[in-house]
Amino acid sequence: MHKYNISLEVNGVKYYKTVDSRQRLLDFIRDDLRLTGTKEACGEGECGSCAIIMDGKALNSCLILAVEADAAKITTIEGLEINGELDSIQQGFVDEHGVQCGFCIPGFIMTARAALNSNPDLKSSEIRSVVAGNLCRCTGYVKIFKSIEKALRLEKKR
Amino acid sequence: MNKKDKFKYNYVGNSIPRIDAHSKVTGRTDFIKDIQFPNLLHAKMVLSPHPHAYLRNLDVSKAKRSSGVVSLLTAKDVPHENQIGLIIKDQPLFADEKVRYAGDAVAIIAAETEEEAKNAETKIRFDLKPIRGIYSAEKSFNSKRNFIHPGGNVLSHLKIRRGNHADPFKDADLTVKAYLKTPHQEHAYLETLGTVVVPHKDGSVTIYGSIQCPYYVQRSVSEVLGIKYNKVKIVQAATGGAFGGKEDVPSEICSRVALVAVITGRPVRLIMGRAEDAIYSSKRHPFEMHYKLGAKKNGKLVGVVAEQYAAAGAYATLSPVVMFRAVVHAAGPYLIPNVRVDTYACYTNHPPSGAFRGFGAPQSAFGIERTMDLLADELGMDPIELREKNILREGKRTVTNQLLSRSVGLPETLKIVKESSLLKSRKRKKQKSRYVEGVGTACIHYGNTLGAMGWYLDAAGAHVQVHRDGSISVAVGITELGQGSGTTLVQMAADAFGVQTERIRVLEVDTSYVPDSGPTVASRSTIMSGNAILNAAEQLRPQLSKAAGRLLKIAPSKVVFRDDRAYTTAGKRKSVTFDAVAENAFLNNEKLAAAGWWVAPYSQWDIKTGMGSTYFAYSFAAHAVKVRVDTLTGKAEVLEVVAAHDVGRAINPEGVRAQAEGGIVQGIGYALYEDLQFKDGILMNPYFSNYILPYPEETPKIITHIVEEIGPDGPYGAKSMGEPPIIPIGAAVVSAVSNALGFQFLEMPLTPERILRGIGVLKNG
Repeated sequence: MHKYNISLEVNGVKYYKTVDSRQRLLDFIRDDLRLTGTKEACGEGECGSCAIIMDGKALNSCLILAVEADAAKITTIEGLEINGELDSIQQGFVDEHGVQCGFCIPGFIMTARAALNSNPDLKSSEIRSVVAGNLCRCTGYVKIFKSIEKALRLEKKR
Repeated sequence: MNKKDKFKYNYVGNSIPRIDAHSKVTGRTDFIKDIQFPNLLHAKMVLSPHPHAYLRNLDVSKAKRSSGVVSLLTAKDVPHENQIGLIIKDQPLFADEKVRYAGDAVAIIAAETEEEAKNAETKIRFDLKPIRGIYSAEKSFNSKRNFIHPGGNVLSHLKIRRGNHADPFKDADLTVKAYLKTPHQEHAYLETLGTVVVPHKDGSVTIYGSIQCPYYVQRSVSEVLGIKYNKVKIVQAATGGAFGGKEDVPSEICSRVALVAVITGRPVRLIMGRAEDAIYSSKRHPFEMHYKLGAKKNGKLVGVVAEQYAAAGAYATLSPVVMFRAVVHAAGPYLIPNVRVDTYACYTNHPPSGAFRGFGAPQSAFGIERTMDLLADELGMDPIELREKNILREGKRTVTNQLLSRSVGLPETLKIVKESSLLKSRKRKKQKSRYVEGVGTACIHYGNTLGAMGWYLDAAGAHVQVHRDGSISVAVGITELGQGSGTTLVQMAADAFGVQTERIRVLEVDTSYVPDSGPTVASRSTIMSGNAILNAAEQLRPQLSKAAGRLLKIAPSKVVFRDDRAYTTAGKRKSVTFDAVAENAFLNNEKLAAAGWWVAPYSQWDIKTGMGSTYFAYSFAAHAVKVRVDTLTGKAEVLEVVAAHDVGRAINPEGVRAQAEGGIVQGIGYALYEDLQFKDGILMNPYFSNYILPYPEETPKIITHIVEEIGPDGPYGAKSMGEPPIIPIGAAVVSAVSNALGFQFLEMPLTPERILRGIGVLKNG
């Protein structure tokens, strides 16, 4: 087992940390940084519950080692709300009843956020394929699609 | 409706946003794994690798000496009760003489880190003498010598005998027969099972966890630890989905973890991994069913015979009550004079089958609804027309001879489905192209709350307190699992007091606030907690009216609470704020806390004949489904669902639709994708990578119609909604695929392989 020093930026805060070579980024975020909004549901990259945005891309943090995040810029669910104002995707989920148990929701929101960041002209017809790798067992997805559609409209206004 | 209906509702009937949404979209909601505890030990259960064997020896000596291990407990270390079980005490806390499924708990390890607990587990040596396993309910039923438990393999037999049950088809012009099978289904809640048990110096314990039924956990832990209920406090953490999977299972897990916590004197956490959770935890009962239906030439049903064999798995757990719902719903929402139904739960060497949304009713719906389609074919009649001729209506009697005098929304739901544009695309001729389309339908009734067999548990409480500053705390014994009950409770409470929802805070569920309110199951949250809150509000209103009367200088009887203020009934000109009323009540020493209580109307049945008023109210639903099937690959895809649900008063209509959509997609998984595979008793696909769940791209267009046949006993007229959406959908999807291919499928899930076999592209064997 090796220890590595990494430096990275999470939600705008710079961290200098020592991590175990086998430590997953998910556990680093949850246990070392105590940012528990990022969830683990399957641990094998099948469900998207642990999605974070790393250097502009939505990635499953259960499939990445913490050492791989050296020098990276990361956003987690805790980093979206600014000065008490919800991100438009978060607001969409509140307005459109997109949340039930809520365990998968941070993953959906981060996945949609990354897609919208890289393509501000995202069309509602593309939403399904954007979140195609995220699992939800409660909602049947209909209201999740509507929540993200709402966010697209809010984003245009902002 | 009674006086409750005179309210002008500000919130009930409106789709207010969920009260928990903000906290969930920001990642602030704390699930059990998110809560920090000091000095924590990490526990892991040791599970049997074999489905059926004598446990000759379990060598834990090396594991006990493994690095970081603080405690390791087996059956030998249980000081009080090693025998658990909610209804039948047939389950050892830790398997002792025998293991009965691959996943049976034999020990628990607690170590300083999760890693060390896992490492110690690999050092345990089993000495097992295998016994032949039983993996089918019907085989278990017929097995004369191989018994999984000493008392025999049939743990429950419930029946309905009505009319000429000896010869139900005497007056029938024609009959149809079907042999049908439904599969296991995994709950696949996104948050796996987990708990933290904190021991206290006075011998009491506090248990936090992802828990559906806190009072079940309280009882089990009390029995296992040998301490009184008042020393066992259960606090529910935010729970990431349950669907029945966290009904009884947490009792077992929390009891084992509590034992370690008490012995070590340290807080102990157990969080299951995904595969471990699937291997260990309960499933939906697979059913093998023989159905026979008889009718007159005009389509009027004459008789039904149904035999249902349910694979209960290794332990009884909830099977007896699942069978109650199965048997009562076995003949569907129809008028049938002659009925013979036999429902058996039989032990098998699988994980225990238990509660899963629908609780035996989806299997029964599959049995009766598919057989109704066969009958429609035989009669040359439209399947909906056949149903219209036979459905329950107001003033008619169910097959258990219960008179339904009111609130029967089935005709309306069926009408909505029939008139939908989806139904008009139903194909009547055989299609020749590679992609074929089909339409299917199914309809159901759903008995609300626990019913006759669970009536002794069917009461619930609410503790409501109005504070001096006008804020209101509401505590209930029913848990929020994602279904949205917290939000409906706030709506109902706000309207009961005539105040804004912002005043109301629903406290976390804690068994020390509210008396045993039964389990959070049977779609009973809104009805039970809602009525208990209304009862508490009624107790508090006189004191609030007195205070308002003092401020307004009128008689208390003239006070009306509305729009966050107290008004005089006469003028409406004079009013005071609710804040002022609360403050005045406080300063005059009024009692501003009340324990609300509500008991479900009595229901009963005769266990010999199955006759009786089995449930006090029924919800109804009809679904129509359109599918497309690729005849080359065998892949079926649901394109559109039209769902009509009679839910009584919809407290939060978007919440109702959310339940419909979620249940429907879960049911599409059940019908098409979710294929839990056991090979010689070993679960082959415990991961999300090999147990295929519906993903976003599998979601069809879903249109939900809400029918509001007011339920006289529900708060504001509400009836049950959580489970009904998953009950008809499986039968409706299979009906649609059958319609597309011109072949009646009688088994789920309709995997591509099964579809290709059905149409003769793949040969059997």
